[in-house]
Amino acid sequence: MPIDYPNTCFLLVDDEPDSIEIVEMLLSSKGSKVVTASNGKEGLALFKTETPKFVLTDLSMPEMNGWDFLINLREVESTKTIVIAVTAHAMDGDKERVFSAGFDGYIAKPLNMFSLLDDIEKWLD
Amino acid sequence: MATRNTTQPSGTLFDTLLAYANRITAPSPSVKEPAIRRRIHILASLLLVVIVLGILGVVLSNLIAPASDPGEQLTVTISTFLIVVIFCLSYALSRTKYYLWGAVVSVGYLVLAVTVSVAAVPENLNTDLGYLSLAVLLGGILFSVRYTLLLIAVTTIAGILLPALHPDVTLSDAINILLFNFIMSGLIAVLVVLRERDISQIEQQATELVKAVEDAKSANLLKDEFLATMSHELRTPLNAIIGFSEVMMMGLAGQLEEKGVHTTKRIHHNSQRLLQLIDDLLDISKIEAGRIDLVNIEIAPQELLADMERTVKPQADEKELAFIMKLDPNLPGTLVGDKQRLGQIMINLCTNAIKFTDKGSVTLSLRYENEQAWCIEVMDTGIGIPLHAQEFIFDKFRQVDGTSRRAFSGAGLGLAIVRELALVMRGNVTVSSKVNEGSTFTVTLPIIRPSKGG
Repeated sequence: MPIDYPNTCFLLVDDEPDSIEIVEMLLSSKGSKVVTASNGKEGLALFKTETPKFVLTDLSMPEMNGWDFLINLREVESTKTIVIAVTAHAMDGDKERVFSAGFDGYIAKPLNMFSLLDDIEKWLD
Repeated sequence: MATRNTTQPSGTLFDTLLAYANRITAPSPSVKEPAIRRRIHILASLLLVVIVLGILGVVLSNLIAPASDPGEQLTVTISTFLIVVIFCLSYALSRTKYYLWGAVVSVGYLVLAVTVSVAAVPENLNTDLGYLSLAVLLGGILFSVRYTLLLIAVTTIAGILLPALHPDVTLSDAINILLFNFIMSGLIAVLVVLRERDISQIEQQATELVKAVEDAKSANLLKDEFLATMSHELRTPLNAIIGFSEVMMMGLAGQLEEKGVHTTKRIHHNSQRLLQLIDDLLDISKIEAGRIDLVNIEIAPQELLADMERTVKPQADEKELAFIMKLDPNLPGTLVGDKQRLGQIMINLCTNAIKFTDKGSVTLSLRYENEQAWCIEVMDTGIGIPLHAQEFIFDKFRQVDGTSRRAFSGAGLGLAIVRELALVMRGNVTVSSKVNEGSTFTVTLPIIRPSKGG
């Protein structure tokens, strides 16, 4: 069973409120601090004030998509942030595109809550 | 128009000549308008061919029947050039969309030829017929060797028949035959035009085909886009359904009663099935469109089995079936293949086996077959497949029991994907089965060894 990580702040960026709520429920249960945004622009503003260690972001979003969000985030981060793309784009080549863009990880929707916890632990190590 | 003869010679001597002329009369760069430049180019080429053929015709007709005075020489020259122009014009026109004008010209020529030969006074024909005959044969050879042979055959027959039909003709039989040649030359032109009309129709069909292929390509692109969009749009709500049911199963939405746990598990199970169906549908359409790219890497066979331990064993456990895995020690320690797709083959076969087995076991073996081949074999102790059904179980959307009352769910895509993937990997899949005893599916694949030093 995954251990709790109460000292980690997570930023969730997704224009689907349901997607946010699920992950928020999961991470809050671990005692983590979770902040949420519905697009890259909001996400960036939150990133600057909250400085989360771990970011889970959707790719297709209005205002600012996940790709641009990552570019902007990398410019302003002071220490290395773990940024994971969480996307329903699960066709061939999507994963490769995500990694070559500089994301630290790729998770295809639908998310599996059980393996998501395992993955987060792995990335946090 | 005629310029395409340089790239697509249809085989006649005329086409070859025209191709050479095309090369000589390169378009002048001073003419800017491309359409006009092209027309000038074509006309220049045709003119060149007409001049060459005309001079050749005059020389040859002089050799056969030398002109006796300058007046006659002029007549011979003009007549020869006229015939050459008519031939070239009708032929060149017949190769374009104006082929009907080619027909008009050649038919006009035929009418003229018949009129001349009917009205001809034997005395005047005597010397002129030499070059006429030559022009006819030259035209025949230029445009179609086949029709020339036909011409020779017909004239030979006519040469025998005409004197018999016209016993009162004062000129020699040869002149009659030559007259006939004259008429036949018109016929050649008509036949050539008719043949070329067929060709232009074929070319039109070819153009339509090219367009159809382009349409199909763009339709395929649309289909790809559609698939990507559908995949994305279907996954988004599924993400919520699966995610919320998992969160509930974890007890994060309040502690559930036993019944609530059961209900949530069913929601979760069925949404997973829906997800599998979406994945399978996307897969099969990708495979059918030939868009599967294998990502071949070096794999240790035991890695493949370890993955199955994780994914398949829980399914077998749920039905209290034994899941046995066997690894042939003769298999090479490293194989080259697409790990994900090999996993998909094994999962599909094992899931299928578990679905149709109620008690006993499902055995997955990776077997060494020979120097060139290895096998993935999945054996079960399930309901088996009757012989008549073994032919179609690999078809899409087919199960042994195709009725709506069938006892087993599933879209029937798993085995179709296995077969298609096996084919993409240059292998094949076979099944042997006995009703009520079980089935064995064998996927035979080529052994690809890692390249040394690489």
